[in-house]
Amino acid sequence: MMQAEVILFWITVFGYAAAFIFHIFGIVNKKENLIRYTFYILYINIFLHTTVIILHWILTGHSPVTNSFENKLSGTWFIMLIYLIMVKLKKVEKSPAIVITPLVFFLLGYGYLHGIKIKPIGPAYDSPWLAVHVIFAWFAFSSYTIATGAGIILLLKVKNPKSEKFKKMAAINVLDERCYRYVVLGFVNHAVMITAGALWAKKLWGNYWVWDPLEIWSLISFLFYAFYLHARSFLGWKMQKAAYLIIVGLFILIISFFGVGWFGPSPHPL
Amino acid sequence: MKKDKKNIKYLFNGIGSSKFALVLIGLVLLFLIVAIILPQAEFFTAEQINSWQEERPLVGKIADTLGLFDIFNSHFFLFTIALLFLNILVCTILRFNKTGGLKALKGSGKIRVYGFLTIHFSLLLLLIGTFLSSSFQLKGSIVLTENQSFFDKEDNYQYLSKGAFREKEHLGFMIRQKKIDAYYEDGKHHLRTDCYIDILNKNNKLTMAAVKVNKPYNYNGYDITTSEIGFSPLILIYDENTGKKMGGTYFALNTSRIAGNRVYRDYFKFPFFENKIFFTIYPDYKEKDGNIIKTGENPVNPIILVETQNEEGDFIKIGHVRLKEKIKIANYNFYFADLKWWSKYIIMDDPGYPIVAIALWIGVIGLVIRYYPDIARWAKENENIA
Repeated sequence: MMQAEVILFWITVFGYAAAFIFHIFGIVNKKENLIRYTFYILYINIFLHTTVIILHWILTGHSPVTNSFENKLSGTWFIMLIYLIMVKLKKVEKSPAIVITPLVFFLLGYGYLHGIKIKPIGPAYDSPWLAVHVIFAWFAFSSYTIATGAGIILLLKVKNPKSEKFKKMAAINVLDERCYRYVVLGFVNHAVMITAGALWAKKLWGNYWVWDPLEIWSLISFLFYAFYLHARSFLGWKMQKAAYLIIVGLFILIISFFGVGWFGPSPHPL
Repeated sequence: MKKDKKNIKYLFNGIGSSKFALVLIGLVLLFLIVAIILPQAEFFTAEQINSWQEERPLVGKIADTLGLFDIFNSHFFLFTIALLFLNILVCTILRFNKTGGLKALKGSGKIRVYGFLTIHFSLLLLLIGTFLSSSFQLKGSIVLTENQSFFDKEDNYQYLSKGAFREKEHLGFMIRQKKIDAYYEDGKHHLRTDCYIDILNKNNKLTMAAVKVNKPYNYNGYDITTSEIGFSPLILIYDENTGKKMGGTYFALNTSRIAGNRVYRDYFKFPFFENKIFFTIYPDYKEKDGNIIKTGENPVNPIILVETQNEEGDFIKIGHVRLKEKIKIANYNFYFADLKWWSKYIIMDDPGYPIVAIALWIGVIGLVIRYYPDIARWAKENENIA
């Protein structure tokens, strides 16, 4: 990691922390200005985050998806970029930022703790399926994260119906619909990610499915969201029940993406 | 008669119901969570599972009795999957009838119906494909040192698993491992491996092939894949007193990763030595304070660390041996005569794979068709967001 990248990386990390603090203060003190500043910080930050990724890419000579640090660097960038685009397109509220920003901050910090290794791309990554697998994985993760953000705001609103702090935020039925939409988007991307992964695994290991811990976690998260979609459609699980499911779903997803090593070895190159 | 018909309809509705589907999804999730907690035979070696059980005797015994270490081949799991197949099949038929049968394919909500049918058809196809894979596949692994040959026979595989219904004879081909080229950047970072092999069929017809990581070679439906390489030192053993050669061979040392570093190490039992003898290869090294430090993965200056283990399990260093040198162990001299690469191959014949691959893509297309109208509507909606 060269000096400029290190400096920009830390500015980005602390930028997310600052945005989160502004947002909290904005909500607690009911100051719209502070919430507006939060988003100015986030727009600047995503630019810095993009610069860090470009610098890292130039330095390593390959896309930043081959180790734990690079995965978190590019994954958090995807989450924030997609969220900000959706906010700009008015397809999601600003309130879920209060959940998404600290998540991005912690994931970046956690990635840094794994150490930054600059090494060339290994033969396992030399596959056209890598890009498809990783891009759709991050699209799915971003969509599920936005859904979780909306779900947590929904629960906060339901628990504090009279609170002035949440008054200006979207109505709970709007948030519930938002959760559903982003889970649907995530689910479609998740399916492409698993498909690309299976086809890649066939080339790499000779078998499309080897039941290694990462694959099992990935299947757990996919089936969990399938359960959510079915429960919503056929059992009428909406609002709080659905929001709780989405929060558990993100927890499973975080383990799938970042915590597989906690449960034993995996042949996965990631 | 009428009552029977009613009962059948009731049963049919029950099997195909969404609630039943949710119960089955929940059950599969439960199996998967168990598979995460307990080491599975599909992925872990018997040794790893035994050591897990030894550390947790009570849980280990219960799990072993219930067959939870091989959950994906257990009757509970397979029965649940069979029920899921039935559920999807019946649910698809019921839903198709409920939405108006063939008429629904032309009606206003036809895209959703097409989406629903495509997704559920892909799921059925996926389950059929995975059933064919697990029932008819052959999956074997072999480790071949340069110049070594392998004959495709049941007992010659290092590890072999065959589906319950596979009766197909082996092709009886022979693989001869020729050169293995491994490329590293700065001698450390693995870039590429090219494994050159000759394949001879029963009629001695020769096919030359190169197998690379991510680029398997297909021979008559058998996929030959490589993903791991390592070192095989040639060790010749001589009686110290008589000078008589007692034997010798290429020992393929296991390659493992410890804290991201490749370690080439294995142990062997010799009849003349009570304890195991451990060999660790350093392909390139430097000496620092009497210790050997690996400096690269290319075998430019190899050295073997020879160790044994005492009764407490501590490693006792016997010494180092460089290429073309010898080391004394008990009353024998071990001569390090040569060093070659080995490559591990997975040989796979899976008749279910094409169906699974098609099913996966149909599933993705189905999801896109099913949710396209919704996503398009959401994209067009003018929402009142502050």
